Amino acid sequence: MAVDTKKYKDLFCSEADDQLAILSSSLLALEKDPQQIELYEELMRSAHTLKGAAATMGYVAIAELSHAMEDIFHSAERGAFTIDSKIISLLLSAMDDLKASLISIREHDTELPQALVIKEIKNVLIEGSHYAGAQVATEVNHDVRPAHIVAPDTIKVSIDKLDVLMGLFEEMLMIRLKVSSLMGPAVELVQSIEDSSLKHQLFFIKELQTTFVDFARLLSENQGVLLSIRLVPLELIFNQLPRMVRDLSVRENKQIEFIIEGGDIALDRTVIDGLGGALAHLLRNAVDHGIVSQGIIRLSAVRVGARARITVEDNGGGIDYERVKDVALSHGVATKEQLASMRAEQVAELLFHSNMSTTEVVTDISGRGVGLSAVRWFTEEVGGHVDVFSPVPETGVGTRFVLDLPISLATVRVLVVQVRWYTFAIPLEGIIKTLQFKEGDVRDAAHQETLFVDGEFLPLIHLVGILKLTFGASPVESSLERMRSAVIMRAGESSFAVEVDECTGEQDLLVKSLPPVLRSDKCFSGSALLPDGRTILLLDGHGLLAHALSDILRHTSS
Amino acid sequence: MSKDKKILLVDDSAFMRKVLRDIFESDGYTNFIEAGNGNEAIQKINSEKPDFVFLDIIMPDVNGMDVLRGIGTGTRVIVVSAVGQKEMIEQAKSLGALDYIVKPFDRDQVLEKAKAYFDK
Repeated sequence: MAVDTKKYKDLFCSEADDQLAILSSSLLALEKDPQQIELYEELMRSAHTLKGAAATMGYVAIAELSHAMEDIFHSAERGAFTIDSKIISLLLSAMDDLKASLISIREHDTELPQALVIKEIKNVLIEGSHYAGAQVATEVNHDVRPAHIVAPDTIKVSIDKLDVLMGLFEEMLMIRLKVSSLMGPAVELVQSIEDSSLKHQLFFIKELQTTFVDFARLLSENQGVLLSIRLVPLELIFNQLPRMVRDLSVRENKQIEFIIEGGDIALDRTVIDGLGGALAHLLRNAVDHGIVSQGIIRLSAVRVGARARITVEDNGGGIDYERVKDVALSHGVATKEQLASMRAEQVAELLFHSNMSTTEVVTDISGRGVGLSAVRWFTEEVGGHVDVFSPVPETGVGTRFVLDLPISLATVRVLVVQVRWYTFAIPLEGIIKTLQFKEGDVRDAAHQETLFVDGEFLPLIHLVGILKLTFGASPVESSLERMRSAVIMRAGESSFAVEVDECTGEQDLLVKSLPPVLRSDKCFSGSALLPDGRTILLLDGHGLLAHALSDILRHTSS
Repeated sequence: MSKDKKILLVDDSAFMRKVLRDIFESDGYTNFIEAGNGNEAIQKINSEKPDFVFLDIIMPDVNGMDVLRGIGTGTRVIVVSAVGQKEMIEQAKSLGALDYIVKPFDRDQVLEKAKAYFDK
């Protein structure tokens, strides 16, 4: 066998389909007008191409059959005999056999035997104009069976149409949310009515609620299907990257082994769209500035719940933090004092600053800044975030970028919380639990209040301070006994507590990206519309924690 | 021998081009251009000056023999075709082809034949 048939199967079958289509239509044209000599050329060429490809794949039956067909066209062109309708019937039935064989190759990797039809075609070559027609062929003619018209089982749909569909669907979800928020009070109202005859007249409210629940369930199922249609495997992007990495490493004269894992994980098309550019930035950085002369770059994707974690890791030199600081200072990204108090993670964060991404800066810090602000912009646009670790904790060398991305742009289940006059949403995914505590449960440690939860002290974060919430009075004077509420959140490996005035309830909300003015504020991950039309902000655990930590550092250093 | 020789693969079947390309890539060659018909082949031979051309014979419109006629003798061409008849081989050679590979070919056969000429 000449080649790895599995590898080339799709390409071979798709070209063979094309050749069969040409052969069939030319045969039908020839039947109408046997004088069209130029059709012989076309037929010979198609049969010939099919023969060559099939022989290369090691499909001997297809190769032999197309070879025999080629001989027929060749002899007919030389005038040895005329291709009459008997021969055309035979050849058309050969087309059917070839189609069936292609289906078998696609499904079972094996071609079908063609001995009978090959023998019959060879008879034509021997008998020429005396050929009396094949039993098979005449049967086909008399007993006209339904043609082998097989509609394809996949269709192409433009992404624009899917976006329109998604937009309409989101409007339906908004209506569902609105109706659902009205339904509760309506049912409660009916229940509170004393007058039994009036209550009886309002029986339909209960009916309405039951019907609505069915409708809401169907809508959810619909949503699942719609979102799954939009999922595209990462492979589509990953497949294009080895070539890029190869070209870059040749240019840089570096020996790089590029490993890809997890290409089968599928993400929403909108997320995939911007991902290619982001990965290209990260890989270029890794080749140009991560790997010194030889090394390994690993691109991997894993699914974690409703999110995908995509990692680009090299085992090269790692980030030179001192040089990053120098550049940050000279470009006014941070002051000397700020830099002095920063930990390594915070210095690494500077790389994502847009002022660190200019070409000039790039050469200064050996290019680490290239496009990283664009990478961050992309991840936040789709509701994710990006972290950098250098050196990689497990190995002590190199650099690792981790993109945490939503798998689909769905509704997000959130906890709606109230702080003073402000309403926020916290995605349930980032919540460990909610709890009540008293003043007495709070410990002050190193300029940070902590709360003792499940055996460990967690930082207690006050949104009023961090988000500078100025409107609304604090609830009643504090007393040691007053019950207060906290949401225990997690960000990466860290857990922390956020104090809130009230947990209003859970909701499914459609999350949109933040308005550009708020993007720089790391405390928010997105915005959403409440059923009553108000826009609220989603709190981002990573951002809140980072903000709280930098506050602590400021206190400690001052 | 250097593996960056520029190789032009001419075949109306993308499948056959892919198979040939993979064979050469598996042996370390990196520099490929492709043409899907005879006209494109002549253009690319003139503009890109490939070191070697692997040329299919049976193609629509401008076939491989026409390509050989159209490019003169300066280009090193190895013909690849499922046609195995002696007179075809002789005709291709008389038109300037160095050698002839008959489909179906296997990897070693292609590389061996290519190497014999690449090294010259």
